Amino acid sequence: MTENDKSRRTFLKATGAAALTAGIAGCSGDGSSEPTDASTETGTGTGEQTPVVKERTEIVPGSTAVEKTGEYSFRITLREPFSFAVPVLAYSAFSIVPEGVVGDIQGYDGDMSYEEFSTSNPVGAGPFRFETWESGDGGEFAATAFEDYHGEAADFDLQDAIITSPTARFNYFLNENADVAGIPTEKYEPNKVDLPSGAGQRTGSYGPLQNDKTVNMARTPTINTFYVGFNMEKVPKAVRQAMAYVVNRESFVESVFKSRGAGAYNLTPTQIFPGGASAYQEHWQGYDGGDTGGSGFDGLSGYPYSPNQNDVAAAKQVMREAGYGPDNRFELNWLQYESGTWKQMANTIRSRLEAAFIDMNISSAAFGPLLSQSEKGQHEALTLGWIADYPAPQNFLQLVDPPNTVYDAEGTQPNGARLFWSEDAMADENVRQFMVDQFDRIQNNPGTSEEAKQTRADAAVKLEEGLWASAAMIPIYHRTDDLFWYDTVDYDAPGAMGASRSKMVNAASGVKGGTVNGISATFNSLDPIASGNTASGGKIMDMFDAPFNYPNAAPEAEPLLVEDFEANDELTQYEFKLKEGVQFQGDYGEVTADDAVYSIRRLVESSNSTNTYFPLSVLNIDREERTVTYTEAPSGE
Amino acid sequence: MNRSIYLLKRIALALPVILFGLTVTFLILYRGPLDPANAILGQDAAPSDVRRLRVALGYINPDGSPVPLWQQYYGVMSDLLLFDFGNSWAVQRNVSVASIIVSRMPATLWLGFWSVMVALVVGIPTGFFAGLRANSLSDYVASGGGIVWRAMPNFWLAVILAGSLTAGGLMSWYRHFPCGPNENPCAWRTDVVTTPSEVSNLFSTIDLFTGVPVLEMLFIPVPNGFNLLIAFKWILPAALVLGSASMGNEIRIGRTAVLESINSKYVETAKAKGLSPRRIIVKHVGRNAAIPLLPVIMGEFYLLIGGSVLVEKVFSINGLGNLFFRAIIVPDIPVVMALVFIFVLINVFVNITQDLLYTVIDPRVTLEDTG
Repeated sequence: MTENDKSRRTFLKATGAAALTAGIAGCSGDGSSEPTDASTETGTGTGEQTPVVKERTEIVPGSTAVEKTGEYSFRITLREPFSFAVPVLAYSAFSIVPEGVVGDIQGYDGDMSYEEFSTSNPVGAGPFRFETWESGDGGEFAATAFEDYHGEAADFDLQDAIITSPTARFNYFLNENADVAGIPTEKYEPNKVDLPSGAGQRTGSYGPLQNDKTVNMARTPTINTFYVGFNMEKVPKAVRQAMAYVVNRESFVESVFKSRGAGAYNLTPTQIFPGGASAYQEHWQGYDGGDTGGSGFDGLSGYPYSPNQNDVAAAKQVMREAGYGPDNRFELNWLQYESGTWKQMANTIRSRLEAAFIDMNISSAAFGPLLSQSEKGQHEALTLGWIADYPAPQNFLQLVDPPNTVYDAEGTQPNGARLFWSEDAMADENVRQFMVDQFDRIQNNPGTSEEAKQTRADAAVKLEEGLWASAAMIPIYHRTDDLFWYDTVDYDAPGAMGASRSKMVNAASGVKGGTVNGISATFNSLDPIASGNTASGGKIMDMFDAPFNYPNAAPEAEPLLVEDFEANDELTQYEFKLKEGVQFQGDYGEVTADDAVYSIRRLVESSNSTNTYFPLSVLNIDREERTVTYTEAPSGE
Repeated sequence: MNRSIYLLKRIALALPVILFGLTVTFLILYRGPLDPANAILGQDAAPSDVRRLRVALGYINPDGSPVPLWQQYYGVMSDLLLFDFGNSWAVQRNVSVASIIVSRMPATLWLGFWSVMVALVVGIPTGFFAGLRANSLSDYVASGGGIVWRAMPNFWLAVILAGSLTAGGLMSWYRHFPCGPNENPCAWRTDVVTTPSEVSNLFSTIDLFTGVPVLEMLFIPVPNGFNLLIAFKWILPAALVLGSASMGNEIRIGRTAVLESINSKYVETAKAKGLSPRRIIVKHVGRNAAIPLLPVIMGEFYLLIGGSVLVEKVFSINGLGNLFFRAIIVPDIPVVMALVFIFVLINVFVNITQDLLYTVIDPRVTLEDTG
């Protein structure tokens, strides 16, 4: 988060809750028109009748700080130092498309209509050429190998059936219609697994299935964390701690998720935890009884809430100490996304909390309503998950940076974990300040020097401890992804960044019949800047190439369309040199710097872009903004 | 009253029904807890993207003020009533809703057609058969079977049937029937789930005179024999599930109706006149028995709208029911509104047809106003 963002938040706070709720009331933000960025309220308050004079800032078209510096080289300028530019540029939204292919930014008319590009004629420089897409449940997607691919061309084609129902997917796989697939938890039988023990990705077999076949299986711990977060303005610390005491991660993972995951004590997943897996384990073990607050708070040694057990007695005690009892019970609303497994877990937690004077109501919502309710702070306890955008602790820990946990309808920074960790939160102010300071240490030490890395690592670990002390959020588990395949393909299962970050050309070989048949979820667009979910992200990865890539989803990004790059000492300017001679599909010629500039400008400036979070919030590419003043009629609703 | 005047009157009366249905749907969708912008963009969306999308979707004005509900209502309704369904929000971004619906229609029509056929062709004759042999063993078997079919809920039957058709299931032979299990490739092979391409190629448009497809000339749809067969084999399990409940109903009501008419005086008279049993059954018993059956048969159309959502989901059929479900989940409000509009129109149309058919079957039913 930038200093600007922070001062803006403080400003909003100063104008009082009224201004904030005014922005929320219309479920709308405070307004702007098409290309927008941050906007600032300078109005006269929210008086009933007075028209509100507002300012908004919008990005000046063409001002995105990405420029061509040679036929094959281009430069990106950032507003602030950032050392993870390379992994971020591996994200599929940064895929390079031919200059002027669509006319959705200023200066281009477009070679084809947007609808054509995004549904029936996507053009990239990736290993597969688009063939057909029949959208919808029961439809199909097909792509053929691109012979002129700049890397090693695939010797097989792709064919995916689009199926959403877990049972139907499983049936499709059982009938050997698909070579590679996942198996939904409800159909998965742990006793059929034959995997070697150990950490990291493991490969073995699974079966026999009901069709008498035994299939290959890979279990991959992917980089993610699923958690319960609290609205700290509504839920007292004692209640949060009580829940932490009764949560027994290991037994949840075993009984609810059939051991397809690992208990989570830190928000930062094992693979990217400073010091690695062993440091992760050591970090939470051996709590020495340290205080979870107080003026001298400087972190904790070990996880304080009875790890690996269901400690109802401790939950009861912490509630008693806070003045609750049989006649003074707390009513807690639990909001979760639609999921049978989480429901099962919620029921268990509810029955345990009953003894600790907490009555829990469970409700569930689809993802959209869940997000909009929680950004307005209408929730109390909430289940969510986070899957790595790039493999670094701060990608997770930004979720719990206190200023980022309060909804802010403005700007480019998405809401973090919806904890509402404001000054009004029912929490120790010292711990809050501790969290803010530690996150600033990460922000202020972006460099690649050993010292900077050490400082960031230390701050990351401290943030985890502050999170324990406040019980603002209870990390529950890190999911592992299982993939299964028949002998019709030699499959090298994707790594920790997950299958949606891998290209099939890197995963499959020795394909019998010349086509890899898979199963895909529904997706709604083939335009890289509008790819919304993991299913379309996977398709984009196969058809398009970005400047960088996670080879078969291993968590180390490597150059792909880029040959070389250098950054200035401040890490604010990156200059990239593209590989020469890389061809686009379909007669669009060579990939040059003009194409790269156009593609990144589209991601920032196009109204079709649904991923500006990456260039504007994560990378924070420099851009020019202009202020527009306008008058808003008093809201009459 | 003249039949065409009656028809016009019914159509005029249907307008408020259509408006009411659409208004209620509008209120549920626009006043309910759905949040398309957040659902489309997800958890790590930049707030500026969310706001921009809300403007594009017509929830807020460019200056940030909320668009008043009546204004949204007016916009949505006037477009719908002019059959301008707009573009999809989330199912397939920026693609016209009409083209999405058209692309999903063949699978649903094919499913609907065969489930009605299954019910009609199996249900009614079985019911008549049972009625004519009342209280015999074959009656017990037939009407007992009817009750069992009626009692099995769609969602259960669909899952069971899909499971037993899958490899390792009781009826897994069906997928490659009539080829052997190891005969590869087998053109007859059908999958349990997903939609084969044959469904969208049931007919070719062939020029009447030259036999080649020419768009500019007079052309007619010609069935593609093999595609029809494959598509029939593929749809049969799903159609059986969807038609099962009405089939059971038709067996039961058909039996009762036949029993009622067969014992009535006019049948005795006909017998006395020396009419052949065949003529009695077709001309007298059958026609009278059809009266109580009519609403049951017409009711199947409603069932197809509601039931197809479920069956299409389980069998992953890329049809309108599945589209409807998906559109509500994502949510894609233009698609939902367009589909509801179409469903309401079908409903009203079926209702009017049913009333007209009464007068055809039973001359005693007139269109006179009683007042």
